[in-house]
Amino acid sequence: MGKEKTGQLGHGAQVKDRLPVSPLSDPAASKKQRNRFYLRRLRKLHVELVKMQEWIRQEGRKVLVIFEGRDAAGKGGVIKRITQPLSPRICRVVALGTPSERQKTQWYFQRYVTELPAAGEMTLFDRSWYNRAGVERVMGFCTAAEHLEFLRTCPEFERMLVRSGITLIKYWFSVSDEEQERRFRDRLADPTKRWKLSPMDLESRNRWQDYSRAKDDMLVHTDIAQARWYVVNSDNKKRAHLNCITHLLGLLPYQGVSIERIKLPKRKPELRKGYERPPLDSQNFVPEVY
Amino acid sequence: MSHHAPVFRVRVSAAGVTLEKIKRKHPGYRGARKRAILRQRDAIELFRALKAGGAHAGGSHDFHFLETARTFAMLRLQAREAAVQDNLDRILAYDGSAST
Repeated sequence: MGKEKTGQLGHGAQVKDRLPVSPLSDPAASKKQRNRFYLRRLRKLHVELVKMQEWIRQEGRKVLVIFEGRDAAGKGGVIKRITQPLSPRICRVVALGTPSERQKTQWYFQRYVTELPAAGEMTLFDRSWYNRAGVERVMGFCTAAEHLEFLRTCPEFERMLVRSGITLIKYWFSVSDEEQERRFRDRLADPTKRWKLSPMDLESRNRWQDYSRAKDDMLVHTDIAQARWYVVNSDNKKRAHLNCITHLLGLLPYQGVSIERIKLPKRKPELRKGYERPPLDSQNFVPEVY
Repeated sequence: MSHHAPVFRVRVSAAGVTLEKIKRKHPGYRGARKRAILRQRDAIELFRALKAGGAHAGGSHDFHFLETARTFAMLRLQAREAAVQDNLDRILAYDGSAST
């Protein structure tokens, strides 16, 4: 294990054991204490994520993480925190929109297959083929036969992925009815978040119980030994971020990876000779408003 | 759901899983109706309990709705399929050194 001054948490599986009691779950802690704890812990987890990224790259691993959950459950927030310190060449986010007319005629999994990770990559699916078991079933975008076929095929498909060398990790973000409503109201009030709400999301709130039944069915049919479902309690966003990232790190055996220390060499003065920067007014600079 | 609605029975045996409709005039109808599981969630819980108990043996279970019976039947078959796949994995990974 590489020794570093920052974020020395060691092997992913041991991360949780070394965590102190969290002020995030302590009602007596002030908001400032909670924020400070959150940011410090997130920083340490980011260092671990970078080590994990290096392990994926060095070992040529293929990692696929699926994030599922109701609207406003916090999937996007966790994905943002995971990708923040990582290279977009190694860690990629896939959030497919509605299928085209052509894609609708293809094998259901086809459009997802092209997005699967290659060696040395980690792909994060912000919603996935599980759309069929959730939104499509509840909103009537697929037939009962197509839904049953999905529940039948999905475990086989995932076993194939795992056998092909992909590490498949599936998270379900669990949010309560009250918290979802609060987040929807936030989104309605905040112009920077309003794009996240579609008429479909509002309709899905009316069908809360149908979604719950669909979720129960989905989890029981597709929780296979090769790719378990892990449920993240996401009523508290900060806790959900830390818990999910800690858990993810714990699942991947990225030990033994050390990040090489690089010393910045002094630039040789002779290499600067022979070049003169053109006049600044020959280039279009962005106005310095700030 | 009327008082005379049929009940759906899932029979699990070594040969496989079957679904059948128990009509009102069927000899076991009253008992089946009393025992029958109504909710999908209860069917899932029953499956989980049987799985946790390691129950691979046969048996029959009654359900008020075809959809619930089908879900239960599917889950039982998928569990068998998973066991076969795991077994196949072990066989293919066997290097001849110890028993699988």
